[in-house]
Amino acid sequence: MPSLSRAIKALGLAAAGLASPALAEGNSASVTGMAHASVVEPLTVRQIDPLQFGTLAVRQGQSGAIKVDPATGAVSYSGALGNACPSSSVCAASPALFLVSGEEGRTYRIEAPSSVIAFHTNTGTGLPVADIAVAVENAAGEAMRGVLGEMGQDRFRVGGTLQVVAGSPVGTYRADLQMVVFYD
Amino acid sequence: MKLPGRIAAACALALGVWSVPAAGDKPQLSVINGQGLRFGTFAVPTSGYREISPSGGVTSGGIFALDQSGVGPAQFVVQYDRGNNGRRRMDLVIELVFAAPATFAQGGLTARLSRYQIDLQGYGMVQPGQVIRVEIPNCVQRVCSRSFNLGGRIDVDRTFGGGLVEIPIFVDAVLVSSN
Repeated sequence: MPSLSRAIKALGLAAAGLASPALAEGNSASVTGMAHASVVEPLTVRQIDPLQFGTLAVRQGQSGAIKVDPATGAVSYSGALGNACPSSSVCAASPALFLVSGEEGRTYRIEAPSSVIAFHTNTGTGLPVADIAVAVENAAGEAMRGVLGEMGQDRFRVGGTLQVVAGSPVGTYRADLQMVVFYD
Repeated sequence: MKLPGRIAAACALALGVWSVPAAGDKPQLSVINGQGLRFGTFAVPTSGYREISPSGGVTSGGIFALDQSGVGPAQFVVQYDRGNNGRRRMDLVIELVFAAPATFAQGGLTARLSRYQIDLQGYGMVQPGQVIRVEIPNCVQRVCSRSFNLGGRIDVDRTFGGGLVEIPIFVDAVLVSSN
């Protein structure tokens, strides 16, 4: 039956033609995944004003202390220590002021030493600066934590208590205050 | 040649039963992306990179990471649904290809994705365009699948600002054998 044989061959070819395509429907797929990262602006801190205890006078052979409040800027004296700076002079005591810049809306934390030593610039004699405290502008009440406001900025102030012991040499005392900020 | 009527009907019935599966959906290959490739949140002063391995290991340079949570490799599942509940054993061979990723550029950020790595046996680092052969032997279920993790590296250059960086990962899969 030559006609049936030809028909069977034709069917066989048709079947092969259906089965062989590499990309038959359902045999291929695609998907799109996603890689993502959130890149934030680095946090920077810059000193605008230093912590100033001003020009002081202490009675001979006695000691005293000066406290600068970071939040209010109020200055208080105790013991035999007093202010020797004329009013409205640049030698007045005042807290340090720092500017923090980063990504708007993000919170950050501040690390500060609790105390440092201020050294006489000539003799190297040390005076302790204790109770170092921080007050931030954008998150009042949270001493060591701030929020970066509009333009991604915040400011914080630093105060402390300088203790002047009896017999301290007259002169200028200076301390390094290392402030560290990092995103919360 | 004329077949008796009953034989012809029986043949037709037998052919019908043989050719129509119990639940006759079309076979379907698919790739599912469960999780994205997550590089997390970090600060970049000027330029830096972060690399995530398929197992979730993290290496970085030139960045400051804000946290380690939400960081991990992408997760994919490639699966084949034979379309019926037949039990015939199938040895599946599927080929995967990752397309070259695009460069992200927006505002002051430019980011590039590179160094794809997968945890499929026999592979580690893979290049865009490289054919990755996935074998799923002895498949006797309706749906057989293989999952894998994809790691990679993101390089970020920053001139100003910040933002969310998103780079698509295109994956193509082809079933090359289902014997």
